[in-house]
Amino acid sequence: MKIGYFTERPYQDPRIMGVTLTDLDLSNDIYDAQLSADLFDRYLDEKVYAEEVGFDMLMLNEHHSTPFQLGGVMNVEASILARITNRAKIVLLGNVLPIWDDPLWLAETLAIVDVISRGRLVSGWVRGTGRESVAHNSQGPYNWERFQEAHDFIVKAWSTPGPFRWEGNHYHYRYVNPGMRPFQKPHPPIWIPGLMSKNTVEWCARNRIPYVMLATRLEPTRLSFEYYDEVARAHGYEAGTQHRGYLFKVHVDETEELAWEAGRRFLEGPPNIFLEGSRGLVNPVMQNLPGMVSRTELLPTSEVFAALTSRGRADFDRDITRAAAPPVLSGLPVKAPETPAERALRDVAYQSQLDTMSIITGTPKTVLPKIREVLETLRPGQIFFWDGDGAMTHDDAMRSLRLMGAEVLPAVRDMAQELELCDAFEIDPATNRPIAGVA
Amino acid sequence: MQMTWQVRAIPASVNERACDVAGLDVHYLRKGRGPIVLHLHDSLGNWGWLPLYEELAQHYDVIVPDLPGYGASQRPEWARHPRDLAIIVLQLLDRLGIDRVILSGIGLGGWVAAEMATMRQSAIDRLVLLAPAGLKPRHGEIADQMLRGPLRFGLGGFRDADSFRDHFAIDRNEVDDVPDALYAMWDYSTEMTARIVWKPWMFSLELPHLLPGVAVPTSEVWGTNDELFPIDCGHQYVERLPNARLELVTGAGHWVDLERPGAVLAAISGGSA
Repeated sequence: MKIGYFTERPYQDPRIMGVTLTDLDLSNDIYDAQLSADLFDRYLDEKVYAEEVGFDMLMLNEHHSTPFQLGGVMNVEASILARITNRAKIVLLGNVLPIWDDPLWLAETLAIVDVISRGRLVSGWVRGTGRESVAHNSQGPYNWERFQEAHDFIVKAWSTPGPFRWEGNHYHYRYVNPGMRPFQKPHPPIWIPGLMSKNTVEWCARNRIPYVMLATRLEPTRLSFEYYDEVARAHGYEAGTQHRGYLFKVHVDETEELAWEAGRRFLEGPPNIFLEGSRGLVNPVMQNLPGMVSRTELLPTSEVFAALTSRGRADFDRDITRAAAPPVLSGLPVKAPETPAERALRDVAYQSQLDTMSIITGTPKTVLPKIREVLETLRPGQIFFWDGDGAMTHDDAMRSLRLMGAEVLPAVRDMAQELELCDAFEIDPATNRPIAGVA
Repeated sequence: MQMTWQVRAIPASVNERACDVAGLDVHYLRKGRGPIVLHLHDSLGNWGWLPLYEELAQHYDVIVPDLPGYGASQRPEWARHPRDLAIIVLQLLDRLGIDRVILSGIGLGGWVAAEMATMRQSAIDRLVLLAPAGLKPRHGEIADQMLRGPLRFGLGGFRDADSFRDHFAIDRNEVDDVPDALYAMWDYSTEMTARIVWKPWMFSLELPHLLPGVAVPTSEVWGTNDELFPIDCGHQYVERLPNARLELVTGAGHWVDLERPGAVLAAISGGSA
């Protein structure tokens, strides 16, 4: 098993911490460069420390035009990590393929990250939400076609000696001969994260590409993995743990009280529609752009309320008077202290996530049985602990990392051994054969 | 002529037909006798048999197609530009053996009509453009159907919320939400619009250079309360088309075909409102 560390790198500006905010409703006028520089330092330092305490993978992702994440261009952070870390895989989940008009530029960028890191890149792709398509003005209806064509093109640019010509439906190049090709041969591993689209899972299973489920609830996640297994069988192979990844919120602390308080901070940072209870409100129009995702071909996880609200599939407001008014940017919300009623509501949201293990927080002793339940239920070969997010401080993150390294990671590795959870670096997902040179 | 109608509910007296064009099943509504009026719907689709069409059918042979990819017409997966729809509609006329029409269109349909005129003006007796897309405004911006979403775009085209309620006979005390059928149609249509109009948004960089060669008598109708398309687009059409005039309809929103059908009827008939 490979164990990774992840945070969304929130822009922790006191003016937007814990407020209610609709997605895409905040002007970037708010950004403070000094604060941003400090936060980048912090998040990079935490990644370096995560490697030091024993994590196998450092995961980055990116979203665009939102304060819940600083890293709108994760390849920049990845290139820094490539040079300042030594051992951990750098897992990008992932580059938003369809929004870029020049995938050759992406192929070159990622090849250089792989070379600088001496072959530690795992290059994931995502289709992005409406937010990303709007931010970079990419046509929603061609999102899926562009995803597939860009993938095919990048794999060819990485693995086939140039020059060659590419005349596709969406991308056209008369001379493909990038100055850099990846360190790993034929190319870096490709993994895909998601939780909504059956088409994407079907495509992954057909191409024997590991699929990383973003945490919602255990049972629908298990069912979504089963769908992957079914497609794999239809294509003549048995999917294994090497094809499964899982990202879930785990925080470890010195006492149960500290753990409870820190875990609650997942809900108290900049509004984040992917962090249930954080008071980030979805913009249904943006999250549901026409033609982006099939209205019918959805995974079981898409039924989970958290996924519904975060992806804008809950009912639209069809009120005639409100909808007839021209849209306005509401801007910076007025910050008011949390009322007792609001606190109680947030406690309910928090408790429900603890109950369903959407958030696991505690001392090493209390989190380990819960992690075991996740591993037994889902049988992933690669997992990512999502921590240090929301309103958590650097100290919160570092305490957790230290305890994870000392007590959690070794115990989880033992569990993985016992449960025979092999990862994609031990068993090749493309062939289901052990990878040479792996102990 | 103010009356209400059901979304996509077609009266029995109206013929619903389909025709194979460019390998696509293209549907259209047709009623009446006389000179042919071909009317092209907007970027939210064919709303149904509007009161305007019924009135027109008293004097004309009215044809209202579901543009390819909208309503019941098959989607041309390959189409990337309104000009592609213009070509398909011209081929539809060929298939139906029609060689002369009065051509009208609203919003996106107006743009498609203008493209058709640049290609085959000899087939067009009169061009009637209802707040057409197709040209970049020198001032202001064309409202963004994608950023607003189909609901805000559709409702924003009415003079106000009450005008919408009146047209759909919605009693605000009973229910005050956009009807499911209308919303579903707007949502579905927006997908096709996103396939052929995305960037630049709702205008062409080529069309302005081709309009001066179109000598067809042209009437434009524009509501003074149109929040979706700046009237400057209308002024530019008049500046570029050698034989065009612009009629402003006081107090109407973008959907002049609904809110001021009399003005549209007059433009199609070649007179004034």
